[in-house]
Amino acid sequence: MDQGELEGALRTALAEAFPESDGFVGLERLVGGASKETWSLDVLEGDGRRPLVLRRAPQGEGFTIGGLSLAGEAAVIEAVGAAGLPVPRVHFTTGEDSPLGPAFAMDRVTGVGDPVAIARDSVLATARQELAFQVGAVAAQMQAIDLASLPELAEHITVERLYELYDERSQQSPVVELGLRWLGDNAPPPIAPVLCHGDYRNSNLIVGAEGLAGVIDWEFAHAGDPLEDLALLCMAPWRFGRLDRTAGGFGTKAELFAGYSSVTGEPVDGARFHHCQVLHTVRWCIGTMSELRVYRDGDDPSLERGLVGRRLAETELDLLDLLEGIDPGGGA
Amino acid sequence: MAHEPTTEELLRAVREWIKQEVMPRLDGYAQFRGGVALGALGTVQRELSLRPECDERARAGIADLLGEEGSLPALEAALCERIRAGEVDATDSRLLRLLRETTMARLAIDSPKYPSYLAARAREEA
Repeated sequence: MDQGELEGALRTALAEAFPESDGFVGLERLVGGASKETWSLDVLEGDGRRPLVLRRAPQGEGFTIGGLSLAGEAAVIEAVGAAGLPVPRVHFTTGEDSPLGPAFAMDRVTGVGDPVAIARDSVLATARQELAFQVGAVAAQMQAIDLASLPELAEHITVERLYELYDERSQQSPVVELGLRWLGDNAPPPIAPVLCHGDYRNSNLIVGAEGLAGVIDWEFAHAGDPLEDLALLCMAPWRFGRLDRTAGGFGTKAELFAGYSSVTGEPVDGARFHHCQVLHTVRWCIGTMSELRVYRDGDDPSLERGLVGRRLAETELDLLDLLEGIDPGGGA
Repeated sequence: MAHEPTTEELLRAVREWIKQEVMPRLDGYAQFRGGVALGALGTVQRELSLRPECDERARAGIADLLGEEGSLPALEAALCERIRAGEVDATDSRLLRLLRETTMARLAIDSPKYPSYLAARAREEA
């Protein structure tokens, strides 16, 4: 489907969702979101414009590994919004039978989404003061949502499952083997799974003058360990040049934990948090191996997909740092 | 001599052409992809000069640790098996040092600007 055909299909879908509108302008593909396409557009409503984001899977939904369908993602966003948390409002969802294919449209949250700006732009200095606390609190609040009220979510990932995923890939890595072994030898006691965003990092946060304005990209929402999202947020690759600020490059781990504890009323379990960090890091090593396979099998022969495979050593180094108790930024 | 200009010179010329003449004519997503392509050529340049030594050091390091000889893929497979079987101590400082050295050498090719890599190098030099 070329952009002209996309515009036609979109016009039909928007006419249903916004019967009063006068069409749309500014359709543009956004950079980022490698698994599925994300587009930005403005619906014309009287004298005003309603900024929207469109998520779609133009080649069908076949090759996303472990992610929700677009309809599932939209349903999770609606449930989180109903719980009073900052997420965009969803306007419509379409399926395989629609000319648009599997897709959904939601409001475009006003604010800054660029992770580098969130970590470093001086304009956001005030917003950053409260941001890590807010992000920690939202991570805890989403865990109060009843899993039974959500579409079926992927399960808690186990070390056994990680071994299986790793063994399905064609690459071998002594560093990943070491990480898997550590995970098995150091497993924390089982805990009831809760709703996890699954990709809770600076990149999927929208920040306004007052701090956190929205959490986006719920494709990887799943039922997991309560500390998974905090662990992901603190991973070295997602600090955007401010390695010294452990929480997403914008705040400290202490601020993040304080926000989380302000909701749960309990301190964060450091050993469980560390285990979650190692697990995420091993998982991302295996993720880069999966990306290589998607590239080689021809599902997505784009150069940017292929180059993700070349990032394995980055994550291997982060894994070695974790196993040796080193924080590359010093650990604030 | 035959094969001149060298591979390195040809690569450098292609990179310069993309940078100077192609990139200014691109915008939006096409410009992003142009940057990705330039990055890939940079990786190829570094690999040409660094890969042989990187692989040989990794091979020799594992051979020394395991006390056996073989190709790099064969030795890596043997090391993986022993870690999984618990025959190698996962907290052994020699093992950790070897894996760190190998990973650092690979990053010098694949991702020399990665912040954790730069931080690790700064720690090594301090």
